[in-house]
Amino acid sequence: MPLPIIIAVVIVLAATAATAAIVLNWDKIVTQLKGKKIAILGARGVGKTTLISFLTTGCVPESSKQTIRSGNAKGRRFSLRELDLKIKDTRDLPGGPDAYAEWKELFDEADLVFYLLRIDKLVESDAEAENRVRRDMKQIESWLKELKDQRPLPRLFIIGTHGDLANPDLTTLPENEQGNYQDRIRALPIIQECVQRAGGSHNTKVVLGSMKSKEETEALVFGIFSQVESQS
Amino acid sequence: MSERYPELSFQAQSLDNLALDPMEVNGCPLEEKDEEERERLVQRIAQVSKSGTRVFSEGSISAFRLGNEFILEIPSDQKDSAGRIAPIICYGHVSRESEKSWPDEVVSAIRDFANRIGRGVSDQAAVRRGIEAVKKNWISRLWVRIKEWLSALGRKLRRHLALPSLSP
Ligand SMILES: Nc1nc2c(ncn2[C@@H]2O[C@H](COP(=O)(O)OP(=O)(O)OP(=O)(O)O)[C@@H](O)[C@H]2O)c(=O)[nH]1
Ligand SMILES: [Mg+2]
Repeated sequence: MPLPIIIAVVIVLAATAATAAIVLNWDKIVTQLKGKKIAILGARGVGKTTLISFLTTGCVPESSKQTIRSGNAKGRRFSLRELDLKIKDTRDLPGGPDAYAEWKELFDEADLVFYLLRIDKLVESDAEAENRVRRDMKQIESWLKELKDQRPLPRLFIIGTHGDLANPDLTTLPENEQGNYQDRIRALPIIQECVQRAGGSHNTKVVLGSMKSKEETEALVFGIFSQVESQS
Repeated sequence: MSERYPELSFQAQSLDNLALDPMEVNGCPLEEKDEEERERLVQRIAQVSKSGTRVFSEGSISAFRLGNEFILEIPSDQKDSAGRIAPIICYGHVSRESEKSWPDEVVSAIRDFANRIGRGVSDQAAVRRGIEAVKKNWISRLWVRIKEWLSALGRKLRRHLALPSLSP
């Protein structure tokens, strides 16, 4: 049986993010993340292993390997700005569609599902990337339907990675242009379709960024956890 | 044409991370339409990886055993489009491992599969060490089982021999 990520969160600092425009209620976020199981899904090469490594070790791997068989990722504690996260053992799954049975096993146990996709490809309207996302989201939609009436549905996060490779580069845009660009990406038909298949915007959040460096990954993960509150 | 080995299966991930992942079961390549068989192979590999014992780890080569199933993960010489190590997995059952030629046959089978999908595996000596570890582990488990079986037999025999003397 796969052991998805179980997060136990401990507050270490004050309940406000000094630089955040919106004041976040960390108490509420902490409560909502406590003991939650996370499934990280997505196609080959989107960044699943990178994100799992960051969540379980606090580091972004320097060299990497295609995840051809699912593997154990030993969890441990790490600090993330206002949060001190304790991530337990998890599983890193392959991204090929032949692994859907394994995805489902993890999905069925998860409280939070992170579905990763490459925004650089979707901004370019890369048909192959769009088809794969559509295929994955159809699966997720059917698994959600199966789970309905059985237990509270997992919350979904559509996580856009490789923003640094998008044209224009999401990570180097001036702050005043960031919002518009992110809105444009969120408005892409394929992203809209993802949100709709995942149960609509009340159950699904879209977080965009990059995992090229540790700092960018930290910002992305911070962005994800900040959205936990607004989903309640 | 290179020889195919009926008792072994193989999987690799395409180097562009887009094309169909090459797979072979019992010497036959699996196409996109062979969905069920492809999923079954992935699930068996996952099961051995999740629940099996790691019997070998050297660099990026590792081997796992679960009962009489094993997997060997070997990096191919090629990197994928993201510059990542692109491994090959060999899955099989240990049934002929007592035959002297078995380790060499598995090494050749892995090399042949790699060649068929346009890859190479240079460090064949390390691959062989991995296979030897799979085999050794099986022999030591077999030995444990034989000992358990012998002691159970001994207990039964003792009970059987002791019974007549206990009866009136
Ligand atoms: N430039 C850039 N590279 C990234 C980003 N996220 C991940 N990568 C790199 O992309 C490659 C693929 O990332 P992985 O984490 O291995 O992807 P995966 O989803 O686990 O892929 P599979 O194991 O093949 O299913 C790695 O070389 C990562 O370093 C990103 O946001 N920007
Ligand atoms: Mg991976």
